[in-house]
Amino acid sequence: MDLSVIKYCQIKNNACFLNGENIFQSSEEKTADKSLVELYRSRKIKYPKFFKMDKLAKTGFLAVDILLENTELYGTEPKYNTGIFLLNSSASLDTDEVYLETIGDNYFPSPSVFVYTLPNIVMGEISIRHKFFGENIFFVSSKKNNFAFYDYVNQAFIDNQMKYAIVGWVDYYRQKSDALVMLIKKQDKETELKFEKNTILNLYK
Amino acid sequence: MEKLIIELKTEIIKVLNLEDITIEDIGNDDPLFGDGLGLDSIDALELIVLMEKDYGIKLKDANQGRDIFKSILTMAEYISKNRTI
Repeated sequence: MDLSVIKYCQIKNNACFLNGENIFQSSEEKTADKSLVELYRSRKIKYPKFFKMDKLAKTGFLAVDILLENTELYGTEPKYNTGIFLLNSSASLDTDEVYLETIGDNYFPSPSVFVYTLPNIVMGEISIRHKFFGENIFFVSSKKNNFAFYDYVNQAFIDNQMKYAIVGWVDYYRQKSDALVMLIKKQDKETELKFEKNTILNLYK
Repeated sequence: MEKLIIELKTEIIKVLNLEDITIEDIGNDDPLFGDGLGLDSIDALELIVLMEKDYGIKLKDANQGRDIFKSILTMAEYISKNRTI
């Protein structure tokens, strides 16, 4: 089955790109965490829970929120036909380390940090925000171009009633955000950007 | 009591990452959960940890939390009566 990429959004090096166009650039001296908050404010998003998320969830939340702007998937109408398929190489290690630091001599681990010590929580935050009830899975892989992962996405379109999928890389580790998320659907026209090996490799460049 | 109330507001804003909120925004009687500050169940756990870590209070019965965490004022009253540190 042929799939096509409708839109893509990238967050990297304190900048954000939508369909390849630079829509946000923060100062390079800013920490990645502060840059994410600046990006959130620049999009005029009103979602106070954003500030409670860990940095991986903030990265994925923002990338997907910007990706879905001006699409029928944006908003809180329940959606059962959209899957979320993400991967990264650092899992939730950044938050795991923060969590470890909250455990002192008298043992007072932080519950609000603990809840983010799994990478798939980012998909939970995205699903809560946009009311997605479709399939989701988070892979941990050393490489962005893990084609077993992309084969899985293709298979999911064959096996399920999926109309759309949010697919891509969402990583955060030690002040480095790196996300590229794509909105995928079954191909209607030959002219659409095909979801295939070369396209994925080009987008990740 | 007023000193404890300000201390509590400051600490709650810090540990719960209430980014856009200042101590002036939190009324002493405002509900902490639901329509007030909009805290959730994870925040409740964080408040329980805060009570134990900063004031040496261990909540033995989770149901007590409903009354204690109604507002900053109820929290401050409970802490001032039961603190061990």
